Amino acid sequence: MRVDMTLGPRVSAGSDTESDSTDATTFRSAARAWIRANIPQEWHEARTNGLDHQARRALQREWQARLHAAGLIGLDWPEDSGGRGGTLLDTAVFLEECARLDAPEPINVIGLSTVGPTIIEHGTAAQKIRYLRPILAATEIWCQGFSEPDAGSDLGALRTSARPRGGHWVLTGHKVWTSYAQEARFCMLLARTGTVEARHRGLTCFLVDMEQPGIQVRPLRDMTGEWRFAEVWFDQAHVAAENILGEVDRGFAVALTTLLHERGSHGLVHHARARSLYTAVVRLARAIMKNGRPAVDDAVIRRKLTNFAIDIEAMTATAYRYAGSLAATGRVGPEFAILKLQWGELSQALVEFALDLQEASGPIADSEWGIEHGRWQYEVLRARSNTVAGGTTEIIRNVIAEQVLGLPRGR
Amino acid sequence: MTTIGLSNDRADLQRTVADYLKMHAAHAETGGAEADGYSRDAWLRAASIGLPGMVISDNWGGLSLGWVEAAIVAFEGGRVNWQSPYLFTTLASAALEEAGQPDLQRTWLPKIREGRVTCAIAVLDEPGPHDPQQLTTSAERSSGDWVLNSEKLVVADGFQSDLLVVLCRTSDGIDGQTAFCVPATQSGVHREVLGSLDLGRPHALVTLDNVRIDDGSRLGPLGGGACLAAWLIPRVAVGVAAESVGIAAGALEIATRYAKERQQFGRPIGYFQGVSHRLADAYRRVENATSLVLRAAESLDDQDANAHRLASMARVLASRVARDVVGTALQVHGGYGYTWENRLHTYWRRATSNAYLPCTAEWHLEQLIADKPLIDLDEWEGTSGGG
Repeated sequence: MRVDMTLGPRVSAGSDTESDSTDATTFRSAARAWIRANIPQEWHEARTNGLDHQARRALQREWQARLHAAGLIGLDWPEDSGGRGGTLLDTAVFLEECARLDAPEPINVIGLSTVGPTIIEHGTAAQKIRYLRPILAATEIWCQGFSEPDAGSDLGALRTSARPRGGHWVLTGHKVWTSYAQEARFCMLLARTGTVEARHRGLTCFLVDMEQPGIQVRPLRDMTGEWRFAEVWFDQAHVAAENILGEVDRGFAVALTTLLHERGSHGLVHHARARSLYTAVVRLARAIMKNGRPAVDDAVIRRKLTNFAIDIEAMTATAYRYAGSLAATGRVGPEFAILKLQWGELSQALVEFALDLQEASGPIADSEWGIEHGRWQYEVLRARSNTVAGGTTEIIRNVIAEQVLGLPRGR
Repeated sequence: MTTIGLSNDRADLQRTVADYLKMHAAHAETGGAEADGYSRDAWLRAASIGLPGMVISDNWGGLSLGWVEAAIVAFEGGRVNWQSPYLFTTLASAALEEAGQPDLQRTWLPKIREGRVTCAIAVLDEPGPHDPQQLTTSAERSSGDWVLNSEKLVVADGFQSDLLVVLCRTSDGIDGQTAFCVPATQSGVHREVLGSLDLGRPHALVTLDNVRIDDGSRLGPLGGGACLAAWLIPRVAVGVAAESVGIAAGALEIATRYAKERQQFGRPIGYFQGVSHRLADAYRRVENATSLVLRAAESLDDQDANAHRLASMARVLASRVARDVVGTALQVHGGYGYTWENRLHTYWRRATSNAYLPCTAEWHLEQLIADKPLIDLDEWEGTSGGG
């Protein structure tokens, strides 16, 4: 392990043109103008008027439709798959601009951020033709079936089984924490084709049609009260042999690609989210009065805000450093995951601080006394997922310890 | 527009310096626990690869490099806890380049570049925070010369160094400050080494007792001292921050190695998440602080309007990270970390001591807190328009 002090080219940068290469600057400013003009107006209102989950999903659908019509989706996907043929860095820049302007997440976020890139890397020509374009158009929504009740962080313990029968495979098992399964047409599923003892070496990745009798989806209500994820039961569900992604018993390698993409260009966006969240907290601190003055003038509050600003500036600098190395090498390193680690803890601290600012109104979620219509009471619940979803902070620390520091695989 | 290529040059520089320090900065020179300040011989040798002349212009035979490069060297020095006059000699030479009259530059910069003259910066008259209004060191005109009187506290490297950059009061008010270069051998300069936490960089009490110097030793215009200080402060901040992050990176490497070797319960202790997760967090902190220091150094090179703000942020974060990460390294070493023999205590001493070098990390934090625009990241929302 050696910390590299040197910089890559500064291709992704926040607010100033001089840090971008010329092409990136042009693209960034075009993207910013487009995003600002195209975010549905109701989306910003949704922040403060407590729009319900279904209405938000409708706006996310509308957002992806606009992105698709403008050709601003799948920026780093190959052109023959309906993408723009750009680089991962283009995606990182675009996502950063989206976060800057608080744009919605596209409705098919799982398809775009993890399934699509995995199919591009491991899929057959036929799979690419069949699946990629509808992901971009959001005509087919995807979910991802990795976690099970007894196998969350430990993928080697997965038990959902796939057995060959005739020209297809038969799936039996139980998946959980499957985001958007209730809306999904397809699922990228990890199932056991080998023995339990084979652990990671007995897994295969399947592209499963969710519209069939053998699959039952039960939406799970999350702690915010929303129905974002679900449990999925597979009882003799079918998947055709041609829908194996990668090779039989080599599904873990496919899953690693998925996880890398989750933390790759899509991981270069956490700093931007943090900046937007911080800006909203500062706005709140200006609006709330403390001892007859705006809370932002209070010495203790300023100190806390300043400390947040330092952490966010550092995280941003790291994201740009990694973006530079991505541009130079095309490679996503395991160290990129520290951005997610940082985001998880920082976002939780920020939203809890936003509640502190509200003092006795802190627990009031939505009424005429509520502040910003309960935005922060919602965020303080929602943010709990930031240290769990997409790899818990404990798993990410394992990844850093093992893959970056070279420590033994531990417990 | 500057684009830094995966900067082969900078990567090369970092490697060259790291290799040099590995070969030449033997234990005795790198914070052997009994060390008392830096080694002159080692510094003269460092001149063979140009380290004393990093920011000195090629007019005077220097390498004419920027603050990113200077920070890279400070970082590498920190990594091996290099005992050298690098930090303050580099900063003083930059002040000389920035503000010195040509004769003064001609007198000193070539010697500094050759490693024959080392420097310290003497600012504080009183213990406590840096407060420009409180400057009492007097410089008075006397038949064309200046006569300096004062006590300068906690001057890092002050006991050993040959040339002192001294901030003095030449008249009342904020515009009444002027900086001078004072050779340590000048009559009336008395130096007393102070027992210091950082054994490799002891502080000195410097007394100026009717020290007479000519007007050519003035650094910058009469009354320009506050302006020069404002120029120097973010550069000192980035230099100290870079060294501090290097200290953290070095301690993390030592601790990681130890966690792979040290066996308990029949396994290397790095197997246990109580250890490995602390090290993973330390890595995250070192990475983030490294990024911020580099960004601050870049902003100095680019003369970015935000440079002082980023420098202060880097200074604050680097101080915290250095202490936290060296603290983690000590903890991972258990009882061995607590011994005199284990060199980690020299990392701890420097990490801790660096937080208080003027201007202290806390001073920088307070500047940030007071700086109204700082805590708005409003430009972030893109209200300023495109690109």
